[in-house]
Amino acid sequence: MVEFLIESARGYALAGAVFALLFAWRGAAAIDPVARHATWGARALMLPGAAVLWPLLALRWWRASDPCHDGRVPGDRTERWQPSSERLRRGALVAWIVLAPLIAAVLVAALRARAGEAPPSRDAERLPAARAGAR
Amino acid sequence: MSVSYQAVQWNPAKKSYDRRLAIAVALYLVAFVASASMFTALSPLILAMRAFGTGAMALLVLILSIGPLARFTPRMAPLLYNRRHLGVTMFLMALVHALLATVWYHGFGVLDPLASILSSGVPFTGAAQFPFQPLGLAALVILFAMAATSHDFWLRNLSPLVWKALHLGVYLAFTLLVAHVAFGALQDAVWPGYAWITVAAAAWVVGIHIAAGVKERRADLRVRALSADGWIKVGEIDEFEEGRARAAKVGAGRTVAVFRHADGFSALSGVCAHQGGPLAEGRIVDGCVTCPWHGYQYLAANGQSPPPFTERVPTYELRLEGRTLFVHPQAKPPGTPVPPCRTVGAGGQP
Repeated sequence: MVEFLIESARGYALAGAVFALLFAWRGAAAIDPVARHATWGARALMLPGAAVLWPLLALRWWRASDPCHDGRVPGDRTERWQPSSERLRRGALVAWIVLAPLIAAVLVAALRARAGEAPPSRDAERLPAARAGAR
Repeated sequence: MSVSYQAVQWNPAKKSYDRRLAIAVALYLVAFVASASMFTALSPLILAMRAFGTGAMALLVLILSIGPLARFTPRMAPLLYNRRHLGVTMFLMALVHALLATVWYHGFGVLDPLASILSSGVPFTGAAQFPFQPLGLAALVILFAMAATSHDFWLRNLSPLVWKALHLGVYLAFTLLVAHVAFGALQDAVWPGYAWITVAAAAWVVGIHIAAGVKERRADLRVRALSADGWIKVGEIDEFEEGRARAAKVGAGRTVAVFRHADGFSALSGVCAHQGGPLAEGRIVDGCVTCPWHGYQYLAANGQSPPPFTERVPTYELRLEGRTLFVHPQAKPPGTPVPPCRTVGAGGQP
């Protein structure tokens, strides 16, 4: 199972790496008019994201070739995302209220494990004093 | 603000910020290795691995503190302004930590290093042997997704909403990293201070976010939306400071920022077109409404960024009755000019 996941991830990343090069060269300008004059430094910074999001970008690139495409990108559609933006901001408080007990439980469990089992420390084995004592 | 994409839109402030950041990171790494090597005989590679790991964690705590602290004091605004570079630096430090750990602990066995990491801690024999490395790997994947999409190209092409939602993954990454540290380094650390620093850092981050969230929620509730003929009361004009705004709720979760400026009063969407920053908490700088998060600017009269920039936000109509200001809840298309609502007398003075 683990090997299958790793091989799948490698295949996805390899396909993404090849796609990212093509995307930075031609695709970015095809889906976003602002990218037509992007510097090569900016194109290089697009590579990791393009390698991760390549299925989505491939779809956008394909759609952008449609003559009816209006040339707008999601960021231009303010009427769609702006009303939800404030809900997302308020959602951050809910996220922390959910995460707070989880983080507390993790720390309590870890501190109890540290106090209860008191395993011999790998650091301690490497302390100069410990080494001197062993001799 | 963008006309075309560049790798980094440098300006003197950003250069100074990054120079200080690079010096601080270098000083931390040197100080950690130098001080740790005085008390332990660990190999330089392990010391470097720990220096990068602790440095990345410290930087993450700083990054997560900036946003909520900025809601309490405007002094944090300069740090907020260039937070993206802090985030990418933190990811690179975490990546170096992960690469060194992978080479040292998983690089010389018969198993594939990734398979070795994912199968560590199996079989599970107790909390002290909790498989902490997969937690770190999961956090690194989230941080990579954030760093890889940090450029403005992604902000525009994913939309600020999706981009922000993706970047809220840092909360999950932080939780995973607290568990990674607690079940990893903390179990072996001789110095008890490590445990207390970890607990204090986690409590600080959680506490400051909840405190800032509660403050924001209270502010939202304070904004009273009183309607008259479909218009919504914003407040008395005497309550407005010159160059500042008041927020008004206009339904469907939308906030309007009503600014007082030299020409009178103008109303824009309360949400910045860049990352959804709270425009009502901004101020007028050089004649433009300026977002407190990243300095994006808009002309108060039409919601458009000054040329050659192209960002736009919706505008709203205002009406003055006596000394009370009302806003119409219907947003006008982004960038629509709306004449400022003037009071009696010049310069917007009643």
